[in-house]
Amino acid sequence: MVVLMGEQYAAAGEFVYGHPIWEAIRHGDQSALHAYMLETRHYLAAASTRMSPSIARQIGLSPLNLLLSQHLLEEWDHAKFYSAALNAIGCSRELVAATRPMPATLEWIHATRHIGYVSGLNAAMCSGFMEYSSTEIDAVTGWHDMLVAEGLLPPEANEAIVGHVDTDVAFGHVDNWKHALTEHGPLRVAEAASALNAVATLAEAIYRWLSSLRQGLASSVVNGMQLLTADRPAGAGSGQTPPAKSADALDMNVAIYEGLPVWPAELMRIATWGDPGLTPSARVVSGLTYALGADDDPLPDAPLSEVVRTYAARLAPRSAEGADTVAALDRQASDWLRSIDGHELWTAMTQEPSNALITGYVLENFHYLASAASHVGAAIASSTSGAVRAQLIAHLEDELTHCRMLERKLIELAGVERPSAMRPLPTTVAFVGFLQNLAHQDWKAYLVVSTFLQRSLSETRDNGRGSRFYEEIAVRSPLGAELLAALRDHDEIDEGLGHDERPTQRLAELLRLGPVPMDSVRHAAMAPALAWGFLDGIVQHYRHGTASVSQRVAWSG
Amino acid sequence: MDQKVNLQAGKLSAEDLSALEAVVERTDEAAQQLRGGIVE
Repeated sequence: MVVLMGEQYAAAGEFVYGHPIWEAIRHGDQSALHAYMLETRHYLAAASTRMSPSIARQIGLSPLNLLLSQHLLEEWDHAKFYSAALNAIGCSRELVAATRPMPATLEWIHATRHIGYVSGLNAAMCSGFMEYSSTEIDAVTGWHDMLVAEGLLPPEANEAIVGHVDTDVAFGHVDNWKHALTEHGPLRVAEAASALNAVATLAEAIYRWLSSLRQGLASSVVNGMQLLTADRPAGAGSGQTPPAKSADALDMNVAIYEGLPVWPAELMRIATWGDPGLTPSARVVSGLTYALGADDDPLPDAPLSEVVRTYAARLAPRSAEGADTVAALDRQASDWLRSIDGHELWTAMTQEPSNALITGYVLENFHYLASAASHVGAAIASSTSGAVRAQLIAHLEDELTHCRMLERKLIELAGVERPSAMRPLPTTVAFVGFLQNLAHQDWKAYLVVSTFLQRSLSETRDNGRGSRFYEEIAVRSPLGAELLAALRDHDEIDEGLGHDERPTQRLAELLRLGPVPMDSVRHAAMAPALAWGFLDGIVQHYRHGTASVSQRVAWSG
Repeated sequence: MDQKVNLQAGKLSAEDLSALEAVVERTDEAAQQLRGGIVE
């Protein structure tokens, strides 16, 4: 297994470190470097939430659990290095800590959390890949020397990041994965396949993240924070005024459980991939809106902040309703559909429905439906209300095998021999994994998300958008007409089972216990962002033709 | 440099405003476009 995994690391490393962003930075692309610094800070600030799921699943202190726990204890506060580097280029720690991670960063973090929940060994193997670059210390040192020599990074910022590299190397994490394999002992074939697939998923998540860093608005968020930091009253944020929170607490803050406001698909697209129609200033305003235009507004008192507030209010009008009635919660969840309305995927499917795109859409939905037991089951397990558990049991009974409708069509029509032996996209892992984790963590939030998901269908029934969507594809794609019939059938069965009304019945039962905490609503609101990513992953990957489908074949055993 | 100073002062050019307006318009139109669902 050490040999197999070593080869997997080499292949994944070539993929990730062969990304064009590295060459772009070598050629002077400072924007890409700034984007990398900001989003790496967020990824590191989420370390405790990413690494802990793998150690929270057993009684007793196994050698693997001890290893993973020690690793967590050595990594949890490493965002401080990147926060210091960002501070050195003019971004205050307070603002950095308040910014929402870019969509691709959220996906990477939530996919990694899911991998940890599934298996401690898989988490250790993924961690091994993250530490893999430490084996090439000369290349890393040369890289940092180059950043300073080329004027891409001031020495004090570089020093902070090198401090992180030195700390990791001193801990000797680079061989942890080998120790984990030794402690685990012989693996069954299925365990080995699962670990190899987890590393492949991680590498793909990172590649998408790197692409987004280069094209999206993270660098413009840095530019905007530099302007807002420079605009602060003298003394604020410079060390002369004590910060509102301790540095450690600030460096732990990362908005991975706070999805309000829910941004429209268009802003999500621009944040992730940029847009040639945006001027540099429009990029900054759009970036700051995405990252800091939160309902609890962390923006400082500055003219630029006012521009951002106005723009944010136009893109996502603040909901005036609370979370204490069924109607209010249902309305909020329905408003969140803005995150998928107008998504690029729908346009691609209706205008250019290639066989690969349609097949990929159905395949990723197969993975999603096949996971119903995992998230509905988790909600049943965590619900403290017997009445809600009964409702969810009925839901599970209805949904348990719906995936088979899609599976049959994929086998018969699309030549996908074993859909379950295909590897879900990392964006699907992030979305479905989030549903599972949320159901474990907060069943009240899960019920709100469930309403959002059901409304994504019922809302298109009322105005015929859903049926016309399928009809439009059928005109251009004979395969699409046949393959998507499985999803249409599923939608009709759902309607026949009365699923449109079920979410409100569950919310009514939930509200018997009292108002839903706003903390749960904010947590639930992360689902629309990851649903956007679920759709975006499909269009970005399967638009590349037939090979994009066969590329999903997983390690299996 | 002027652009940064203007942005810091909250001043946007006609071109900036037009680009931002286009994003709002595309968002407003999105609610009418055809789409599928993400149903459980």
